[in-house]
Amino acid sequence: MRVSAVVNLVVKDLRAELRTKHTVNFMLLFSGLAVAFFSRIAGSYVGSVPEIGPGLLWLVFLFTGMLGLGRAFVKEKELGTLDGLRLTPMSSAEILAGKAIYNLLLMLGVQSVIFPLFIVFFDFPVRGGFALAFAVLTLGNTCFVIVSSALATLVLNARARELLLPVILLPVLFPVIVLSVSALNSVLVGGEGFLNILGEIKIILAYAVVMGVIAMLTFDFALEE
Amino acid sequence: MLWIYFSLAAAFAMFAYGAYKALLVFPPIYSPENPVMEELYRNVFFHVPVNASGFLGFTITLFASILYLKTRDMKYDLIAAKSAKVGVFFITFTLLTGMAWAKPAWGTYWNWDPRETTALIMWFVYLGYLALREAIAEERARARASAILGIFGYTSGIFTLLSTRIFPSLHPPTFGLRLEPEMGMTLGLMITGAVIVFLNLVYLEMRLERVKRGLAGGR
Repeated sequence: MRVSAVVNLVVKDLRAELRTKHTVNFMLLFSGLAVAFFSRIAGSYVGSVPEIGPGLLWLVFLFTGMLGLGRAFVKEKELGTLDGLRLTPMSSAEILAGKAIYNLLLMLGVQSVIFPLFIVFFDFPVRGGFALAFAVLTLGNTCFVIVSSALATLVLNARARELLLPVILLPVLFPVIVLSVSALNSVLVGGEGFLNILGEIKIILAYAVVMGVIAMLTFDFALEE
Repeated sequence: MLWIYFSLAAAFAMFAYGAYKALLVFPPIYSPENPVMEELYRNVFFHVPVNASGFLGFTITLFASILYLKTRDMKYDLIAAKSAKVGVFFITFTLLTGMAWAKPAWGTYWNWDPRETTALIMWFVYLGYLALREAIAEERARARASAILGIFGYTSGIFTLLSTRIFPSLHPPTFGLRLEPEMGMTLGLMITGAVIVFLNLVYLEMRLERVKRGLAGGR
């Protein structure tokens, strides 16, 4: 895998995105709305049962990601540029890596706005390290973008792909979300340190690696027409 | 066709004999601290065989998916699709018998035990697999996309197998069940019967699909 090719793809996608900012604006707007809704509906209970908080936060990311991340490939398909992408002298692994990194940057953008917003809106009692919680979220989102980038290509030829993607994505992601929520709970609510959530982190990492390897191995086929 | 009748009759005999032994012959297991369990253990003889067949189905889907991507032979796509479909059917019964166990043994039908959780998720993964197949009209594109999901999806199966080792669980670990020899034999018999039924269902589903295609004027 050539790093320069991957970087080029990421830069190209970022440029195209920054020209209109459609996707990122939409994702921010949607996630902000979701946080506002959740805060209005469940905010008063979070004070007494703070353990709901991380779960709600992950739901926000999940919805936002499922609506926004599929765009990376659907956009290419709709504009007819997917064929161009196939014709470039990039291996499919490079294309996948580029798309996943681009998606991760999008998610990180959302995360760095929404996570503080979430803490403010919910008046969330942060007992552990903020940076550690941010890192846990980032790890979870990394796994999220790997899986969603790989699976988004599967629905390209499908009817009602916006409906279908969540249906095939959610169950595959379920273990990561549950572990990430539990790790986040330990850090934010329990005030635990890094060593106490090492178990969760190990499994999420292993899952990310396994998913990444399967994605790399099968992506050649996924991009075929 | 004849061997289908024979094998199904054999499977039925195995299942009927096993059910008779499990429900009527074996004595209650003496456990004074939990009297409910004395009779409840009989559920194992139904829960494990359907589960084994369902898992077999998803494993076949995995290998058929890999073979499809390697050979591009639509035969493997058909095998993958049908064994996933029948597998979901069997896992549904696993979940139901599991719930029937959970209520008296653990107090609620559903308590998000790691094994329950991962099995349910696996069930959803393969329902998603079937939904994906429904949504793609073009044959080759459908075969390709669903083969890839068939490979991804199997991670949920592995998670289910390992769930009782990774997380603290009330469920006994996979292959960790210890039974008396005669009970083990009966269980083995019932597993064999369930697997035969499973294989026959997959075969019939495949035949049905071929007939449908023939009627539609395809291959």
